[in-house]
Amino acid sequence: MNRIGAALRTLVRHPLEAAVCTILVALVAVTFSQVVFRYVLQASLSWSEELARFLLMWLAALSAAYAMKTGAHFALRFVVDRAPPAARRWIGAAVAAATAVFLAVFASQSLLFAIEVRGMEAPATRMSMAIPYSSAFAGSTLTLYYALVNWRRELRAERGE
Amino acid sequence: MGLLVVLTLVAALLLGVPVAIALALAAMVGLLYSSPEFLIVLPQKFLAGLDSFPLLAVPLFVLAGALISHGGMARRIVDLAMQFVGRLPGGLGLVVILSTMLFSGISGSPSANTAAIGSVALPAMRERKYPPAFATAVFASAGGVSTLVPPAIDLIVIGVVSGMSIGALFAAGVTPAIVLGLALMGLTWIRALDLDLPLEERTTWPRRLRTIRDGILPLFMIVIILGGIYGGVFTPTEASAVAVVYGALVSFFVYRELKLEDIPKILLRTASLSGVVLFVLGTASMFSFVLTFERLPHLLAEGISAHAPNWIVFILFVHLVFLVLGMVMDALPPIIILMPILLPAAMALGMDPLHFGILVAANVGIGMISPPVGICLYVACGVGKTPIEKVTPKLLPFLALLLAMLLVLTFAPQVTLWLPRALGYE
Repeated sequence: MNRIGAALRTLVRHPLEAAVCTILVALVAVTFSQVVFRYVLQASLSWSEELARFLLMWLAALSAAYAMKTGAHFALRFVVDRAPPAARRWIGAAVAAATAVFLAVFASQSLLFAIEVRGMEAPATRMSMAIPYSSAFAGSTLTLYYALVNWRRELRAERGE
Repeated sequence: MGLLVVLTLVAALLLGVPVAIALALAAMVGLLYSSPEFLIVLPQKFLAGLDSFPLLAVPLFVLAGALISHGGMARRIVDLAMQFVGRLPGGLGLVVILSTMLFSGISGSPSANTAAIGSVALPAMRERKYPPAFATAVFASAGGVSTLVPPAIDLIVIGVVSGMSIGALFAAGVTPAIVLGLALMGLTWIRALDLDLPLEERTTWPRRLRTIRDGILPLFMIVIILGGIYGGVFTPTEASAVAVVYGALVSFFVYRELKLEDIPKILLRTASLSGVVLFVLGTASMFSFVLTFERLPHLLAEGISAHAPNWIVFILFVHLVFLVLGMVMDALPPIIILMPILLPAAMALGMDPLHFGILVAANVGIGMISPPVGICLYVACGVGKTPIEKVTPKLLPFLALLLAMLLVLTFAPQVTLWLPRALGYE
């Protein structure tokens, strides 16, 4: 049980990781219970598909930030890797700046969009559409944060710190 | 403005901006060029691209794959394949191909399949003195076929972005996957005779029966997924959730090889891969919107119908485009952006949409094992601890064979279409 406790403590210290894990488990539970309710209990759920779609949006947004944190997003490296070191530093700065500009614009527009739709109600779950749609704001803000953290780490590594 | 968008994309990609962000940047530049007010389209299209119940099958099938590769199913599938083809010349190579295909039947991610089977089978091949470069080439090439085996992520994404039935695409992938797998096994056999590889020892019947009994549960998982979808019991997305629950139950309670503390690691690995795929999907749908806004797909489709005299010229051109893109980048962005543009053109030239979708899936599978950046090739080289330069010469015959088979699939649409037709998909 100690090891399970340790695993749980790790998750509490890493809220983003805990959130994506929870959403994944919830997605399995919601989708699986949709099948169970239809066949075993003979009563189809009206809200399960909608809830699953909303959870998927949150999973996409938060797991994109997690993938940025772990450096998993795919990039073409074959040009950059052949550039001289001095040029590589400038390219690294340009890439980080371009990424940050997009994510900042995306985050602000996502916030506006979430505010705009807050009065709209989802047909089955009756929740405000701001709940699924604010995933884009949360995800892009976190992705921006990790993009900047990664860039700072690269700069420090270059200076040999 | 269309030119500006495309130039931004190419420049960002070459500088090493992550593909997902490069697509989004190009879309942002395009929208800014029209009016800053249009920027609100960015979150709108991002969310619309992800608001899809069929798409949910992607993370869940990836999770199913991660669970079973931890839970001991991969090893049992390899053992099972050993019973069927292990005694033939090049037996271990054939085992790798057969078990990769079987494993792909329960996991959606080709690179995960390659890693799961490779980490089990490669040590055995090393023990048997298989040349490492040859062994690595064999199981990289098997990964290249797994884009056709349901429930491959690529088939799900093709279905989602083009509005085709995912069940029909799954059915359409089955026969081509078997044909390509048999072709690879044939080539492995021939190469093994050349290399004079050792034959495996004979096993006893009680042992054989035990292995088959152990391997029944993973095979039954394939039956549940495909039987459930084609029996009309559940949708492909529901099948993915059932696969996760089944995989977890078997690994926990039957094999007892999965531990509770492994779960966060498995979930996070799934989240990482899903994050990459879903983020690209979201930003690619922003990019596609800007292209559509500029009427580029329309212009392209007109250009194609003006210049492509028939479907053969068209599909050869499409193959060339996907092969070149597949050699330098991940397959999903080209699929997401080009499928909605190319599919109407293909249909206008008289191609069946399922046939077209399967050809693209087969093509991007080949891209996954092509140097310099094919993902399955990378994973295979990593697991096999063999440098890519050494594997590439050994891989070339397999690549050539797969390309030849791609042409066979292209000119014999019946191979792809008979099964979905027989199952009643139009």
